[in-house]
Amino acid sequence: MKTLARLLAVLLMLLLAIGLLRHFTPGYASARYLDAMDRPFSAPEYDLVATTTTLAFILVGAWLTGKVFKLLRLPRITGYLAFGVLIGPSFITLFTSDIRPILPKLQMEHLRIFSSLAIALIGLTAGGEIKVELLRRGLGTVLGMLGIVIVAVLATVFIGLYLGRGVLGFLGELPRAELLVVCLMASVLATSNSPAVLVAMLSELRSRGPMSETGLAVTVVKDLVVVVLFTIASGIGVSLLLGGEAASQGTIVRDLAWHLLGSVGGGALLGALMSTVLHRLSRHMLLFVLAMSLGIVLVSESAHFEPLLVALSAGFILSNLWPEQSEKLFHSVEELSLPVYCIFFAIAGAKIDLAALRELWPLALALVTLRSAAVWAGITLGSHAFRMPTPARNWIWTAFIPQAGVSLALATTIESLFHDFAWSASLSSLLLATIAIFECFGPILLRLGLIKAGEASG
Amino acid sequence: MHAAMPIDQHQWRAVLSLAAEADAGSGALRIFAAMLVLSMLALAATSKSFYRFQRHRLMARYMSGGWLAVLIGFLLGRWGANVVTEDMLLEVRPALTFGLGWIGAIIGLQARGALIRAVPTAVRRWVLLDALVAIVLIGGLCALVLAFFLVHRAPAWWMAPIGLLVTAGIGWAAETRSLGEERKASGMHLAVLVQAGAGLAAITAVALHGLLILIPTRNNIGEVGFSLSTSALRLLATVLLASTMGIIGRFLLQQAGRERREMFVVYIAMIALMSGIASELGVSPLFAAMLCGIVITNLGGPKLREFDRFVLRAEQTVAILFALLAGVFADPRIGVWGWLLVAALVLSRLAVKSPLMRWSLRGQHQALPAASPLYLAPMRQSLVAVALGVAVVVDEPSPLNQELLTVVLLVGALSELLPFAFSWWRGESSTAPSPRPQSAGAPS
Repeated sequence: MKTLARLLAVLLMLLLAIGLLRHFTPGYASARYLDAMDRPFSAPEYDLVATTTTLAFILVGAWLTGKVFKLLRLPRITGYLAFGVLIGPSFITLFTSDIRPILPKLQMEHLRIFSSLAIALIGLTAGGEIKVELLRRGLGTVLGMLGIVIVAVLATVFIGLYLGRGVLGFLGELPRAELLVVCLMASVLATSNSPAVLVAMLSELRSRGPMSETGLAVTVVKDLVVVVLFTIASGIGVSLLLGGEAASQGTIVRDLAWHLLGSVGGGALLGALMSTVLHRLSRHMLLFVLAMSLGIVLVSESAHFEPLLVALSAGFILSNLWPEQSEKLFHSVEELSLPVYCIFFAIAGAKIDLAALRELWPLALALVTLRSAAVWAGITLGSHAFRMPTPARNWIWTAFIPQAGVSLALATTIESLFHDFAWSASLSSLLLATIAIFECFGPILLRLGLIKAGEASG
Repeated sequence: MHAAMPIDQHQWRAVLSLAAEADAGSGALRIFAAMLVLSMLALAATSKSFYRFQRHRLMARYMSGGWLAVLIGFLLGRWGANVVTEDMLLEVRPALTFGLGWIGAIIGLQARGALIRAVPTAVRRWVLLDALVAIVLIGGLCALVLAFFLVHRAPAWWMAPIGLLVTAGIGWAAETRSLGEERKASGMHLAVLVQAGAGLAAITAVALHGLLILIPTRNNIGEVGFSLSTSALRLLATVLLASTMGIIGRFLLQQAGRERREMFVVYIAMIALMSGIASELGVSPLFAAMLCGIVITNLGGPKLREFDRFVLRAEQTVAILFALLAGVFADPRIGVWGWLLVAALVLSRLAVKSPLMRWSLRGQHQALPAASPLYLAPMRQSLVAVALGVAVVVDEPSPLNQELLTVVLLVGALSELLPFAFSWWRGESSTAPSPRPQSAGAPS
């Protein structure tokens, strides 16, 4: 109790200090000044200058909030997310628009590089955790459970939304074709879950066991499948609503293959490249990890690959083909993981749209219930069918509840893809509100699941 | 009804790159590429193969000062391959500020009370004299040259440029191995004195620079002037912050327990917080982080000592990264005034540094060689000068500051060559076996 009070006091002091600093330091835009020889130059804007302090503040604040949450027997990453919500732009604007948020949108843009690096590191960790042996032993289980949960979620959410259109807000007013597309897109998005939350949670609780291993393997493969599903659904939606003048099927298939196979192949190549450097490297492993994460982000963004998949496959190749050399690397990744999680999840929390949540919470809650029920039913069926050991089979469904980054990106993509339709903004807001709920409560459920399954040791 | 609208290939690609959150654009990609290139180069420079390569004495002479990294940085920059440009680096300014904070912490952590007290009085006198000479001689020379070229004549406009050149002129490179003679007992002692003096001079230079750039302030319309109250307030805030940082750091480390990952979070946050707040207040991140380092190292405690080790572990990598950055930021169009300054500063180092060392250390009790190449060591510019130059550019990326950085780099590169050119000119006489020791007595 004493520790909790002390932590809360320090957290409060930090918030006060940063608030005062922000209050007394006037924000300014980039300006043109003259030097002593009368030559012009651009001075950086305040938000760029202040990003270092914000980063430090996020790091300490999220870490301390994580500790407070741990004392309250809640997951640390929920603490990081909660801290992000608190300092993000949407929380303060619920009350007033006069006070500048601690983490404004522009600074989030400057911190984008850290989020990208975090995705690469999370991917490397996840890839390193998946062993060939596990896949060989349990490939059937992984694929079977994956198939069942995807079908269950797709069908339940689609049918649920379609049948409940009369009571579910804007859905009742849509023409049939548009309603079908909305149901399809929402149900595809519902199939996704967050590899980042799962990896962070496994790391936080140092979880080992069938639930952790199978949950991670299914989530990783699901990440690939969701991309395929989303592309197909977008294709159907575009054909239905925009008259079928979309890019040719050949182009879509080629691009999809390039995206998926390229991501996996590119990651494997990067993994092989990393192993050759690892042979020669004995020191400065953190710098190497950082450089490699930059490499993953660079390759992914320039070739339109998915960074998480590239990192996953690089980590997988390294840990399975060169286990001895890569041990040091994964040790350094582990060492970096805590600051990375603090920053990544706090920024994710800051992105939560509380205004949308306030407006659409009944509808969002309905969608949350539908998806949660579908995940539970699908996974319980799958785990019984593939004879997973108890108690893991009773709790493994909790691994597929959290949603975060990928789901957010999907929601944003839906809005931009169908931006000509009035419902696109409403749908996007609804999906964002749903993701916000899963983002906050998913980790709590997952923690409970891992503890009940007897796999948590941290 | 909605008009049928074709979806082009670009939009499909956008769907496929959903996990990338948004289309990064070529600008962001280039920044990633630039950072990757820099970190790979820093990694290569800390590799075993490079160490072996550096072990060669001739190589050590030219690489210990980071000049190869500066050159590579320059070749990668706007004037070379254009792979890494100053605009890209300024986009990642938070990372640069953090790096400057790291360097400041490294310098500050050397200022442990016991360690400072162990430095012989003669060395302290040497550093003090060196700083005074730099202020008077280099300050005077710079004022003389710049008086003809600066458009704005008010003294406030002069403070920052002269402040940089003066503080870059304080001290010398701590590396002595490439000069030889470290293995002889007397040479070893002299080398230790050179290194101790270099450390002390680095602290002096950063402190003086931090104070000097506090004095002029830029107002909202960009005019530079003096505002004593603003400067005093900033200084007070920095000192208070650095003092409380040690205490906060101690509390946070207590919370971290023995978990290494948690300690790592606290270390990074402490450096980022100190350098970030300093940057927001318009104070040098180097100076603020140095003060914080001084507080931490003097507060003691095993966990804060661990911080010391953590920060120092990355010393070489950070030094190489900043040498690369300096090369990228350098602008070779320094004009007549620049070359005049380079000549004046190099000549002043050549004329003053070595005699000043001999004169200051004349009272040393322990035997010192009468002639040694180590007496040429103070001619070589300190690496801290490069960090100061980069800090000035990061703070205010003006053409003048980039040119001043180039002047500092050129002075550094030329002063690196001086001891060798000098000893070659003297027919290697200085490397001959030393005669009798100057004096003998109790150890200092």
